[in-house]
Amino acid sequence: MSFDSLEFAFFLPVVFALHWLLPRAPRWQNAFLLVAGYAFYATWDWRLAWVLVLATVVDYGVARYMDAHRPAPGVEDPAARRRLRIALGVSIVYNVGQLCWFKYVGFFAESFNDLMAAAGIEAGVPVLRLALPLGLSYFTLQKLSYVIDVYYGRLPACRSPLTFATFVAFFPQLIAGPIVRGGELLPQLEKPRRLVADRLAAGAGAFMLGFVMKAFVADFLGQKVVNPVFAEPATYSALGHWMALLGYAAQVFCDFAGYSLMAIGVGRLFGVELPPNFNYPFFSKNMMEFWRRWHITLNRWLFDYLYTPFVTGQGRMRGRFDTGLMVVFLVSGLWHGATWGFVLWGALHGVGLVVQRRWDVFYKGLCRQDRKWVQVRKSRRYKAAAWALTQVFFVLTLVPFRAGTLEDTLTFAGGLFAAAGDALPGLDSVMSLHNLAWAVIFLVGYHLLELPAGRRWRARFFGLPSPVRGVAYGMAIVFLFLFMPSSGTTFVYANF
Amino acid sequence: MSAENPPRTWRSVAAVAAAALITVAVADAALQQVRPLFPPVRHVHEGAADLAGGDPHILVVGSSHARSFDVVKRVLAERTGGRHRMVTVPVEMGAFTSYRWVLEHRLAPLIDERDGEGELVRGNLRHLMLVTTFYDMCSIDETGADLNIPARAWTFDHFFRDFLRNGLTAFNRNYVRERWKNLLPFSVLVQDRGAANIAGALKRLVRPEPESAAIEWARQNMEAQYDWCHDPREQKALEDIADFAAERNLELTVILFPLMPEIVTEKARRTTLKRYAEYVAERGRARGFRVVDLTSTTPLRGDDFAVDFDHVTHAGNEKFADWVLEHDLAWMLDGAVLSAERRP
Repeated sequence: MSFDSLEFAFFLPVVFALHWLLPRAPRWQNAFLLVAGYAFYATWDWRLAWVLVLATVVDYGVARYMDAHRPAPGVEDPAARRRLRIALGVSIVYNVGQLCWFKYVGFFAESFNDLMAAAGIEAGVPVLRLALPLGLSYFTLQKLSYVIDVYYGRLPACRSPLTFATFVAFFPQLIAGPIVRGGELLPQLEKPRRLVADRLAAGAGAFMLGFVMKAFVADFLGQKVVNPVFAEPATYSALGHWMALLGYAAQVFCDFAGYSLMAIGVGRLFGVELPPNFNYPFFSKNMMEFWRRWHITLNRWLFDYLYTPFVTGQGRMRGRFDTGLMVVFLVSGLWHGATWGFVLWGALHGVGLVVQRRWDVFYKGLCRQDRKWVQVRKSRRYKAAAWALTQVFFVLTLVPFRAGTLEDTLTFAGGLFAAAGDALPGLDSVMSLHNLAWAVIFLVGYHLLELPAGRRWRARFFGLPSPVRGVAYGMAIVFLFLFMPSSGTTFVYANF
Repeated sequence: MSAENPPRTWRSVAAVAAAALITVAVADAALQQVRPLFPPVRHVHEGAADLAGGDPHILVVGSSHARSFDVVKRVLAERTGGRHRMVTVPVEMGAFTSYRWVLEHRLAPLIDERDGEGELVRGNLRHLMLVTTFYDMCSIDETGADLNIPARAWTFDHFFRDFLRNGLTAFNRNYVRERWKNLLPFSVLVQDRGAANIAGALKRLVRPEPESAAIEWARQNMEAQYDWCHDPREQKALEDIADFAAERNLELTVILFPLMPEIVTEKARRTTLKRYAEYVAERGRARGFRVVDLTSTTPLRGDDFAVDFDHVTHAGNEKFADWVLEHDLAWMLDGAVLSAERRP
């Protein structure tokens, strides 16, 4: 069940009501949230719930072991340090191994066979096709960050197995993030939660906004504009290819930002604040800024737990910033999926960030020589060019991200400039045109409302009397009933 | 976005929720003026309940057209003084695979039910009648009639078992969707989800569409179905239904239901309809079941069909019932329906 599904419309009110009817004690609230989390997970495939259980048990045990065997502050105890490192190793091997087993073993075997075949050797390595436990990529990173934080003493190990299990299986963020850290969620779960009107309103608002983004904009664009062109690129014109690509950029943003907002909204309904995952990435004027605004919780994980230890640690990678960026984005690509299309996507972004870093170094040199370059950088023209370059780069790199295989990537990329067909997507009926217009208006409006003038409009709206706002929300609900696609797709990011 | 919001009180939250709810209710009522709610119709559940509560002589299974036989049932009862009993089981948007599922899973337990002494509880049942049209043999994609089974014919038990086996899927979620619709039968917004009838009605309100355009679309659609209305899965389902009837000593009659004459072109007659009629007739000869082709033989005319050009109006059904009991289905009035030997 996903947040925009009908089943969730049954599930959420029941869970919400029961949760707040329970005694306001963490023990009761967490126990109930744990049951709800496993029930939610089981609706996808209850037979894979053991993966979640086992992963929880392993990391709870490892973290507790670390706390129990940590040398006292100021005491040098190499044996204890070694034991901690071994415990950390066990957790990393287990988590990464589990991820590799379910997600990558087939991909690597198949790639190896292809490589050998290209060299004229029949390798014949069996290619396993395993069902990927839902949310594995997300809760694996969540637990790894927890164990690493405990290892470095940044976080005490959670003593309560119930609280820790709830931390892992907290259903609003279990399937597709935000990838929350122990330091963010555990303290909230350890305290009793109260239902507050302000938080309920904020949660409902975030959920509704996310719902519109996912169930109307993303699903409509996916079904009518994006999928037909990627399925049969030969039928569509170059303009059709560009529409599909731009549509996909909007779709994937609305799909995942919408999901994240719904997760944050649901979290608030249970008195828990989850970290933001998107912050208007289409305002970004360089790729580094973009990745600070897009899938924030994944990228901060990659930079905090991969990039920073690599380039600031004592190993051979120390100071190798470009290599660090390449590694981070290749891992990011592979994290998104076990295909060469994702690897290529990651490599392109790695190269993009390396080029940007070098440009920054070069430009700083210019600024040191002549201060006029500082003014140039602050000029509107420079900012506009930087913005356009960033967005065009992001959109173009979505081709391998969506196409999946290298062959399809090349076919689609070729179609952007010289297409065989002459059709345009999503324009087959008045209703489609109507929905396309509303999707564009929503997206533009969503971004304009974040600008200073837009913020004033927003403040004015939220200052309106409650019944007036209620009428507006009611009209939005009626609109969704009438025009929201009826056969919604799964969340794009839930597949990763 | 919430950081700049003024703090909310419980009163303001309740006011927003109430205003939103009232707006939706008012909009729902207003939209019912544009697109009135369909009156409730019988589905598989009602048909199965009728069978469970009775011991009919004739069991009619079919698509939505089987509802026309509710009038036939009434007229039959009137003419036989209630001695000849019929039960109808309409499977909305059905096809042969759907009828097979309904027969095997919903009706077989009732048809085969025996009392403590081993006697059939419904031993009078002698005739199985299948109400079909050419599209019962069309290929069904995943959004088509296959999904109709969870939505229209499943019980909670079927849903739960499928859920345990496969988790929540696009297929079994149709069960949940239909139950949700049943919870709010008074809301046109809820009932219209997935059908887009309101949007269509609003569109026609702004830009009226001549009826001729809709008729032309229906004609072309029927002609085009020649290419895919011979799905082997559906054909196999018809064979299975023939087996089902034979195993239970039920006489099978396959009826090709009347089509609105205005939408049947000469080309459709030579292609789609001919292929279907010939196929069913050939299978009838081979398997020994009766085929009654009413596609164009009844006195039903354009006015007797509803605005969807497919279903028959109430007055049309009366005309159909009177006519069919005097012609192709006159045997239903015959005492042989009653006097035939009980099933073993």
